[in-house]
Amino acid sequence: MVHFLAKRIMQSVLTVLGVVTAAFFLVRLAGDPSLLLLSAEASQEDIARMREALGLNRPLIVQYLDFIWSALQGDFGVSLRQNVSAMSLVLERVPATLELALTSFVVGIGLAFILGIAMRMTKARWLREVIMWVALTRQAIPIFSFGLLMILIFSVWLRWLPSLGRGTWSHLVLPALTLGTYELALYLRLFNASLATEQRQDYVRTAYAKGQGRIQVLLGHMLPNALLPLVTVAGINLGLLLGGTVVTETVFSWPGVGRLIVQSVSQRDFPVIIAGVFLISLMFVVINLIVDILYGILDPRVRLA
Amino acid sequence: MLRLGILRTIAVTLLALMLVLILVIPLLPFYDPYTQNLGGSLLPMGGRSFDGKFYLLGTDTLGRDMLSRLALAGQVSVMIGLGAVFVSLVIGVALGLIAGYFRGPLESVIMGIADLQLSIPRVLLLIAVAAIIGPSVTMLALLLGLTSWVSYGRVARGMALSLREREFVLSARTQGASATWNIRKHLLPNVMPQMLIVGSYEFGQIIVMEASLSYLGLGVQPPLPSWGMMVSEGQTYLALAPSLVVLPSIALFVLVAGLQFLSQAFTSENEVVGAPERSKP
Amino acid sequence: MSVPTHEAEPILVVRNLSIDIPKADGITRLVDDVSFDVRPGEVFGIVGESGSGKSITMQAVLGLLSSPLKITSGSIKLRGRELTDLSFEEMRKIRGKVMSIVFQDPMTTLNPVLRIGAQIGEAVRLHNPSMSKQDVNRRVLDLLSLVGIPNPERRARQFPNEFSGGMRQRVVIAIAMANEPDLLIADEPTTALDVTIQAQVMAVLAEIRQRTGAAMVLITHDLGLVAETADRMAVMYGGRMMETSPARTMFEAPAHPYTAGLIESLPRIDRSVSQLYSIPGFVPDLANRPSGCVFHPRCAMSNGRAPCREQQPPLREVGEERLSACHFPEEVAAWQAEQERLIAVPDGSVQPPAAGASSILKVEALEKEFKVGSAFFGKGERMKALRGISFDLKQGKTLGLVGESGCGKSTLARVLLRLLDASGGNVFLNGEPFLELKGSRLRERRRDLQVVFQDPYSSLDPRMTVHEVIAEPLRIQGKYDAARIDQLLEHVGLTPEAGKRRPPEFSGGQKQRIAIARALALNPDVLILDEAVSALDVSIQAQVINLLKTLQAELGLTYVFISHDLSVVRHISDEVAVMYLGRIVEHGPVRRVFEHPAHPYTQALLSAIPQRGHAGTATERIILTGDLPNPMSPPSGCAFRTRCFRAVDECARVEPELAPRTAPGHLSACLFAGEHGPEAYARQRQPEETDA
Repeated sequence: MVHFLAKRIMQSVLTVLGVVTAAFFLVRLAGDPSLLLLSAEASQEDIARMREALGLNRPLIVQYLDFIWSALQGDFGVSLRQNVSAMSLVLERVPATLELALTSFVVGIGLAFILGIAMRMTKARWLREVIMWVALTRQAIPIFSFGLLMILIFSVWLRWLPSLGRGTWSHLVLPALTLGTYELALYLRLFNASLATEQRQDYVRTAYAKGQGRIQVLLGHMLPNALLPLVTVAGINLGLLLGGTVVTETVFSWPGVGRLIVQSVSQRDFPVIIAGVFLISLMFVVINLIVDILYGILDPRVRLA
Repeated sequence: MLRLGILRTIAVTLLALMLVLILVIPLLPFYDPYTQNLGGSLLPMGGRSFDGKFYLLGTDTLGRDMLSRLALAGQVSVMIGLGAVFVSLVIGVALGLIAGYFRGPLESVIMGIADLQLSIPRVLLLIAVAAIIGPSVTMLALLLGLTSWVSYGRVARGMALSLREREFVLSARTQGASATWNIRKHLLPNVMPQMLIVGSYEFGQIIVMEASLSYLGLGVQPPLPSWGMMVSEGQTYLALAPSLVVLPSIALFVLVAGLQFLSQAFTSENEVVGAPERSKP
Repeated sequence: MSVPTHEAEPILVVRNLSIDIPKADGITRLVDDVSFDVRPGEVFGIVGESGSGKSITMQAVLGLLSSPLKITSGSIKLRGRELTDLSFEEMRKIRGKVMSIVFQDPMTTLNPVLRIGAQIGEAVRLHNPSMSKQDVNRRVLDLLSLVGIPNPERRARQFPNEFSGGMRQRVVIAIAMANEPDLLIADEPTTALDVTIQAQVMAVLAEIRQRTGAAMVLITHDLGLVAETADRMAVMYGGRMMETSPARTMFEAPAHPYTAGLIESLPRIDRSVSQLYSIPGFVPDLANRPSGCVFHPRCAMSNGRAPCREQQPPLREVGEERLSACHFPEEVAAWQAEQERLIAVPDGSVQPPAAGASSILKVEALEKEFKVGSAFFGKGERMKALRGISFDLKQGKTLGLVGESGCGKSTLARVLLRLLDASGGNVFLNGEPFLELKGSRLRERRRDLQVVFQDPYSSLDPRMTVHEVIAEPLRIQGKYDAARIDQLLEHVGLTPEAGKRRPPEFSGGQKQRIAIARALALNPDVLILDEAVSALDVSIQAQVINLLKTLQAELGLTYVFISHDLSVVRHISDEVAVMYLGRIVEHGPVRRVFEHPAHPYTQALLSAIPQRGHAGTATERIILTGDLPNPMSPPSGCAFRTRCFRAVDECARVEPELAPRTAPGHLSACLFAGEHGPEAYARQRQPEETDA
């Protein structure tokens, strides 16, 4: 376990380094940053002065190390449009994104859990089929389509819920439902699949042979095993979910990091884009470390290894 | 759990419908995705413009024929999707089989890259790249392909790991077969069916990804239409003309559901195609 | 073993039980009209090959048939109570309380994420809901010590993956015995275990039954195990009952030609036979069960007689306590006597190894080390999988390699085949240093050394036709020749038409024939047979063994025959090497080793095998204590000393060399080589028994 965790932590560090490296080269690909800062009429001399000021005349490796050093301190430079540090702009938006992501996550995984158990417990075949069909159908609708459909029904036609912005809990309902149910489909299929796998295991037979009832076997024996793959995927998927917030935030004008990144793209505000991508990746890495620890607690085979 | 026969039938029906849209509609005489008709903008379904032209699915904000635009957008999406699936399948299968067959440091490196790539949400990566390099259809297909090889790579590696220990591979080695021989004759034919199932699912995912990027304005660029872009353009008129959002959404659904149901119909209940995976402890 | 009493009311009465499975093309009957009784306190053995319906029958008794299997008719009475119409809830109160089961594979029957103590405690608590927590815990610890698990307090807190296979099976037995049931069903309880561990587990079962007086149904494919353990036994075939009779007389007086056929197909540990009888044909497809007697198409005595073909023989009394479902049971004895005569080897007819035969495979001090552990962190530990392996195999001979799982015999095969790299030593194939070959020279010479593996299900690429499978080695060497492939198919008893089909269409035995044909394609000198017949049913195994012997005689092949089954090794080998923890501990001519084993490990292995004539002599059996030591940190001195009944202090200090100690040409690695095993074992056990 210690061994495994050490390996994971090292991997995480490598990941973060990888992201920073990728960011550095992306920024380089975008062209000479000095040109972006100066007006088109700037003279050769102005450019040289700017390059000097920005340290662009140093060897690439020095610039790279310098970039990493600043990045690790959270310094991605100053926003090209607003004269504040890019990181502070991003950090301002983090709570909104976290609120949306975590609520959606709870909605998705909670519903998947309840529906998955219900599907195993019910004897009604039609109910199982309906749940699966709904999940499969939902999975085939992209977030922006589903979100706009929700707005159309609940805001435009029924006028029950607000369609834009962030504020009260009612603002959260539609975005969280949109993003959460998109995740639900995957979790539910996965949970159902692992329960189906566990059901065929010999230890389930043993449990029945002891004289246990169906619900006891389901909750006492199959569930602890079936949760393991769910935990792993949920961890990874939290990253995809963070990606999903970008679109959801745009649809619902939710003032989060994702929307900031999209806006910065149209304004070509590279430091903000890079800072945003870096921060979300960092969150993802941290979440995954937590999942690994959780996995170890749940699975004795890992804990003892 | 689900009756696979029904799932298959529905999948095939949806895909057939999509084929009609992208292949048959462009052959019809009224097909015209570009001409603007400012006198006939935002026409409802089945509406006629002032000059008497009939529009089966209405017109968009610039008075262009929705049906034609949906068809053209479908062609664009499918082309991008096919390109990206091809790129990612080739890369994924090659890297996966190499990692699984040869093991050792090569495997660590390949799987390390896969883990790294999984640690950055794909949308963000694409946004960053698209923002900086600027999007084009070819670039989009290439980028989507380069960022989605991991699903194939993982599955291919997993299968290669068990296939390489299978006795027919071992026995071929004792007969003097080279690694290339084993990979070509034994591994590849045995992983391909599974790869096509993954491919069908991933195709759907790529379509969604492309639509999302286009929705954000980072994907397909005008004048070429894309379903995501059409939704984004129609968003402003959601209350006034919901069909601008609903129609491309339906088109998207038909294609994505068709592809995903198809992959699901060839998967047993205790497998999940498309579930993100990571190296197990 | 308890003495069954006739008068006692049977505890389990099964009458006319039929079980069906609905399939797309109609209903298939898996169990057909099966009847039997189990009496209190007895061991009732059910013997059968795969597909005989033996396990399904007992799952039906427990009410654990997995859907869509269904009981369609018949009755199951436990202590006079009809079980077939009980609800799930009512059956629940019976399962684990009045009857319980021990399944085959201990590696999967326990829940991997729950502690051992919790899993046993659950079985106790379920049927004693009022029991206090302390009492449950106490009972769990009692049960653990009852099944012979040391340190029960500590072990109860551990998880299944911290237990060895044998220890897990003890836990499963503890769970089954938690409520002292009247009936214990043991479904192949030792099939997944090594033979010395099997002896331990069977001893635990016997002891615990003696204490509680439970009756046991022992389901197995192992005739020897039934003959030795059971009081009465039933033989099933094709979903029907063939005979029931007292188990002790099974080998001498079978009541059904199928039983007789099985017995004659079995290689023997106690004597050499010239060849095995093999039941022709294959296990019947239950969807198209033969008319009349289900066995008649394969029966050696039927000779196509009308009653066999037309009438299904009822299970009827043919003697005291003996029922047979054969139209002509009186002919069985004569047939068996005739077979015995045919296969007997006249004494002294075994030829001594021809002097001067050329050495074909010579192995010198072969070593293999595995690095275990991560490349990143921790000290990469080393495990010695093979140590100082040496032998010299002459052309046309068979070397049997035996040992339990983890002894290194399969690693040895892979190193010889150059599927793994050796860490030291030499291998000479036809006098050429095989391990030093490289590139095209290696690819070319590989063809002299071919292999047949164990698992017929994974040995052939399912996507190729059989023709392509056999063509592959020829294509690799660039010598494709269609006629050669047809010829090979005929060699192994298949028709050229078989080449057009794909492997999944063939049965296990046929697949193994195809694998043999593939291995022969390149005209090898040496064939390595790695557990090549282990996965096959007895009747099919005999066919393949006979084929191997014929091929060897015809083609002058040299075999390295790797197996955990000593009877098969005795039958097929000229010389035998016994491995333990990566080392050969005994090596000599097969008869010498089997009749005068020199090493205590060989003695224990031979003694642990259930066999004919062993019944009631369990006191002579050597039961090794403990499990195989961790190969990462093997014991000092002699690796076997930790389990040896003969070990003295000196054994921890010196590692005995493999040397002729008892007779020329008979090598062994023990300081006390040759001392008669059972006597030494009894002497060592003496003080312990007077204590008890």
